[in-house]
Amino acid sequence: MELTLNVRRRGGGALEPGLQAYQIEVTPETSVFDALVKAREEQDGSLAFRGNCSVGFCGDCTLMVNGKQVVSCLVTVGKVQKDNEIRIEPIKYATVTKDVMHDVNQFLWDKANSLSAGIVSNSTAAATEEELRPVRTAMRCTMCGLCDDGCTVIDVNTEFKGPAALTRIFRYVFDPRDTRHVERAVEVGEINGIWDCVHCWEASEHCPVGIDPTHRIMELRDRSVRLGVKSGRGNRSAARHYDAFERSVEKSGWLDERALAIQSSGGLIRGGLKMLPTGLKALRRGKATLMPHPKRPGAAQIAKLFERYRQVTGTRH
Amino acid sequence: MHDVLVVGGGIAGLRAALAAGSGGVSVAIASRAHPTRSYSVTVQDGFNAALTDGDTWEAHAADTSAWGEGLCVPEVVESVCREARGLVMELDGLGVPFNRNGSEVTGLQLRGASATRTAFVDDMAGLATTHTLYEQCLRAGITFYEEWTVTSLVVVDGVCTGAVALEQATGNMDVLQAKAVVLATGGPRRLYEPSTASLHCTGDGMALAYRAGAPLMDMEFIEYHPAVLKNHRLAMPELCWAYGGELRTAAGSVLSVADGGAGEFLRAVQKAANEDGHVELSGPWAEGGTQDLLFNTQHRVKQLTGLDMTKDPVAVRPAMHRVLGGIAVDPSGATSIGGLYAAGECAGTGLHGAAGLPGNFLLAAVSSGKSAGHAAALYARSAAAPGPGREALDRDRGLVSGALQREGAKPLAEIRNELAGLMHHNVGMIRENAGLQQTARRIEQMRESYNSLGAGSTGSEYNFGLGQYLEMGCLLDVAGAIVASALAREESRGVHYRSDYPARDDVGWSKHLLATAGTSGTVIRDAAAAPSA
Repeated sequence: MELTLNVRRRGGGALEPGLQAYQIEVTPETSVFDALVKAREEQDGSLAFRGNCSVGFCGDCTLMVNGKQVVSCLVTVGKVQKDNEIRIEPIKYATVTKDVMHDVNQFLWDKANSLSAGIVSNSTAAATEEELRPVRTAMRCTMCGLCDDGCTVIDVNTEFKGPAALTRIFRYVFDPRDTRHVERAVEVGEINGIWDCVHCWEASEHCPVGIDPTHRIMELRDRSVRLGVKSGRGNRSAARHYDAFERSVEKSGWLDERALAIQSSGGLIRGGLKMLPTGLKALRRGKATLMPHPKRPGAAQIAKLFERYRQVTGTRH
Repeated sequence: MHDVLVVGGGIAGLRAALAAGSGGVSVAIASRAHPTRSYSVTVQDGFNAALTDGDTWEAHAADTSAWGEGLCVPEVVESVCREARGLVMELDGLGVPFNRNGSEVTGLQLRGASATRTAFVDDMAGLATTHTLYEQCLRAGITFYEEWTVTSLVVVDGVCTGAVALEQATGNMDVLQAKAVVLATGGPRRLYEPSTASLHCTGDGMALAYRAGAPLMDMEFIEYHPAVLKNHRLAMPELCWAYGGELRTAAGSVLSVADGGAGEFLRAVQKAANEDGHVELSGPWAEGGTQDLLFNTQHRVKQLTGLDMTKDPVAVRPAMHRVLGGIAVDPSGATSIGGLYAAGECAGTGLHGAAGLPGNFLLAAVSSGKSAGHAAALYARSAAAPGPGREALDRDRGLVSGALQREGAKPLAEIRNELAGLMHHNVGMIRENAGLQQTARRIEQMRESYNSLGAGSTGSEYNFGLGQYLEMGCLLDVAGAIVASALAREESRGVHYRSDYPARDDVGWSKHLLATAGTSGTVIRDAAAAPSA
C-alpha cells in the first residue's frame, strides 16, 4: 500500500518548522519506525529520528504518532493509518534537536545519570528469587521515556527527576545485593525526587511493559521512611507527615489532623509555633478544638491490623 | 587522549571498558548510539555455565565442540567454559538479576546442552545485562562519546593509536587518540534480508580492521535463526523451546534439531518455510506460570501481530542472525595489529566453530570483552603516547567532504537492498560455486557504483545520509570477505553448506580460513590447522 508519512521537520539549520510529506510503499504489517527508515534511506538522508533495534528493546524510537506517544517500532502502519496517512511528531516535553529527534540527554539521561548508578555489592550479598522478582520486573525498562512524557510534573517542572530515573533507583534500593540503600534513599529524597511526584498515575498508564512506575515511586517513599531517612529538604517534612499520619491512625483508629499539621511542620515545638496563627484562627471559627483527640469506635481492631501488618512486614514504628 | 578506546557500546564493549578501567587506566567508549540502544539489548536467551553440581565445564566444552562440528578452537573452548561460572557470578555481583531457585542462580536447558546450564533473566538477559554494565561503567567513571561514528583506525608503523571519528550531532571529525583500541562493534546483519538486524548492525569494526590489514576468520559461517517473526525481525528466543515449545510445518509435522545437526535443522526449516510461506511456533506457555518468564516475548509478539502466543501458534521463518567468525584474535583478544583488540560478535575467536551453541553468545560477549579489556589495559601501560593521527584525519575529512557533494539515498538504498537479497539467496543457507562467483562479481560492480555515490544531503548536523553512505562501504567490504571465504571452503560443515560439496571433509578442511584485504580483492589463506575437537 502507498503510505504518506507527514513528518514534523524543524531545526537542522535550514528548515522552517512544518510538515513534510513522504510517500512510501509499505504493507499493513510494516511498523511505523520501519516506514520512517524507508523514507530516510530511500528518499531523504537529512530526516532525523532515532531508533535502532526495531523490536522494541532499545527504547530509542519513541515518537508521537497521530498525536499519541508510542514506541514506534511496535506500532504497525495498518493499525494507525487514516486514509493512508500517518502524522509523526516529536514527543511532548522534550526540546527538539532536529525534526522529530529530541534532546534525549536533557530529557532523560542527564536526569537518570545524576543519581548514583550501579549497585555496590559485597561478595557475600545474597538474594532470593522472591526478593529479585520486583527488581527484574523493573528491569523490563528500555528507557523509552513514555512515562516521563506522560508525567504531569515534568510538564511544569523539567527538573523533576521523573519516573524513569526514579524507577532505576527503585531497582537498587530494593535489591538486597546493594549495600547503599540509605545513601540512595537520601539522594532521591531531595528536591525534584520521589516526594515531588503527585501520583497522577500517568506514568503507569503510559508504561508499555507493566512496570507501574508510580507504584514504584510510592514504594521508594515507604522504604526511605522505614530506613529512617530524614535528611534532604524533600524527605524531612514528608517523612514526618508520613510518620504522623501512621502513628495517629495506629493509636486512635483515624486521622488526628491537628497532630498531623503540627508534626509535619516540624514537631511539637517548632511545628506548634509555626502552626500557631492558623491554629488560633481555626479555634476562633470552631474548626479546631483543644480537647484530646478521641479514639474512634473500632480503634482496637485497627490497632490489631497494624500489629498484624508489623508482624508480616517485620517493620517497627 | 585515553589509554584505552573501546569502539562499540554493547555488552562486549561495556564489559571490555569495565575490565580495562579496573586496572587504573583511563578508558573511553565511542559508540554510534547511546549504549543501551545497542543490538545487545535484543538478545534474550542467557549465559551458559556449569551452575549445578551435576554439570561440569568439561561437559559444557564437549557440547560446544560437538555443536561446532570439529572447528572450535580447543584452547578457546576450554578457557571460556572454565571461566563461565565465574563470569556469570561476576555479572550477578554487578547487578544482573539472574533467575534463581531459592538463592541459587538456576539454569535452563537449551537445545544442544547436556544439562540445565543457561543462566537467564526471564526472557531479557541481554536487556538486563546491557543496562547493568552501562550503569557500572557510569560508576567507574568511563568517558562516553555517544553518537560518534568511527570512520577509520589510526595505524602508524603497524601500531594502532586511536580512531578517526565523526560526531553525529555536529558533523565535526576528530581523532580519538588512544594507546590501545578495542573493537566491539557487533555483527553485519544488515548485509542480509531477512535478518534480525538493528540499524547499526553494519559490520563497521570488521570493515575497519579489514581495511587496516587485519584478517577476518571463519567468515563463511553465517548462522540463521530458525524462528524469526514473519514480516519482522523479532527472533523467538531459544527459551521458548526450553519451556516446551515446538516448531511445526504449516501441515503440522514437528521440525526438530534432533533430526540432524544445527545446519541440517535450519535447512529443513527453511525448506518448509519456502514451501508454505512460514512455519509455526507454539507451546504450552499458558500453563505452568511462564507469564513473567516469557513476558517480553509475549508483549512484543502481541504488539506486532495481535496474537497471544500462549494461545495461538505464531508464524515464523528463518532469518540471518550471526556471523560466527570475525576479526581474527588470539585468546587474549589481540588482533594482528599492535594495540588493536577485538571482542564480541565482531571478533572471530574460534569459540563457535561451524555452528554456535545456543546460550554461548552472551557468554562469548562478556568473556571476550573481559579478556580484551584486560589485555588492552596491560598493553596501554607500557605503550608509547599516541601521535595526533593527522594523516588519517585529513584523509577521512577529504572522503567525507567528497561524499557530501555526491547523490545518495535512493541509489544507495537500491544497492543495499539488492546486496541483501543476493547474500540471502546465494550466500545464505545453501551455497554453490556459480551463485558465489556471480555474487562476488556483482559486489565488485556495486563497489564501482558506490564510489560515485555519497551522502545525498549536505547538512552537518545528524546527517543520516552520510551515515548510510559510510555503512554501505563497510557492508561491501564485509560482503567481499564472506563470499570469498564461502567460495574457498569446498566442503559442508555446520551452517556452511555447499550443494556442490555436500560432504564434510575433515582431511582437507580441518582448518580456519583468513580473509585479508588484497590489492585486487579479498585474499584467502589458511590459518593454523585446527585439530578436530
